[in-house]
Amino acid sequence: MRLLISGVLVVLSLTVWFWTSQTQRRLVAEAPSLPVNFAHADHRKENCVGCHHNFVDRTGSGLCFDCHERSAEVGHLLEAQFHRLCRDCHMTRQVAGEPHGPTRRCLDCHVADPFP
Amino acid sequence: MAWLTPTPAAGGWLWDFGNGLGFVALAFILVLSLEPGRSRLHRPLAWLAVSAAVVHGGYLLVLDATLLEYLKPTMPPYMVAGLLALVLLALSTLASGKVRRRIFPGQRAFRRLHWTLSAIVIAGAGYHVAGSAFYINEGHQIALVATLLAVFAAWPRVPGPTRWMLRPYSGSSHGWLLARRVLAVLAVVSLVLVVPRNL
Repeated sequence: MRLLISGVLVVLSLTVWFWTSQTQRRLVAEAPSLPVNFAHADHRKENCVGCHHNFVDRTGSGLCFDCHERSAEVGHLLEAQFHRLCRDCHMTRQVAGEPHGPTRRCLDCHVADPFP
Repeated sequence: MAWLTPTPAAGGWLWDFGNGLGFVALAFILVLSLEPGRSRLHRPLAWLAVSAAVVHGGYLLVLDATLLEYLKPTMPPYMVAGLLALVLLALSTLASGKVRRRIFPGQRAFRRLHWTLSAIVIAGAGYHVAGSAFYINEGHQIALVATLLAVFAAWPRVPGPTRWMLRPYSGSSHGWLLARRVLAVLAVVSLVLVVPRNL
């Protein structure tokens, strides 16, 4: 029985260790990002700096993914940050009964962008 | 469940149905905490919980192949928690009956380990729900759900309260008892999901 308990504890510990380790963060940062379909034309009413924060806080001047995917500091937060930015805004609008973008289905956003 | 939330069919009925299956699995897990281990229904309900959780994952993978990303080592922690909860739940269910008696000749050690595993399963499933942030995403909702889950997880360790639940078994058919527990599951789903969502 002790062997069984030890086994469960070892698996749990290894899982927690791996998913909080730099190795996992590096894996996330190095993994190819999923395609995202985004049209500026659908977001013209939004304040630009709501997304392009680097224009006001001077944290960079390149493309979003230059930091959000490749930076060691925030690369592993890519999914959480972009889901919070896009999905939460869409959901807020949906609850308010306003026109909104995709809120749930991955494939509604994660397809190749048809716009040049 | 999806009908009762402020954002009905938020992801389309097919998508919300898949997530609803996950909540049903969680509700079965919580009802297992109320169901004494010695009762005839503990194992059937555990199998229903495992089945609902497996179908929840499998159904969503078929519906949206992008979710395969969540089975890679780059998956976010809340998906690891969900997967771990499913594996531990399946192990706890498989290691019952004859297998359990072979591994654990004594009741006490088994109960302690079984409760520890179930608490980890509940915590993992709760983190999975809160982390995915589809239905429970506001701070007060997460706090309420966490409190409810903690109460359900601690319930079997509180001496006394589960004993009275054995009484209604006399004279009732197995099917009716199971149906009553399934109704209890629906009530728990409402409690855990619908109430916090509408606050």
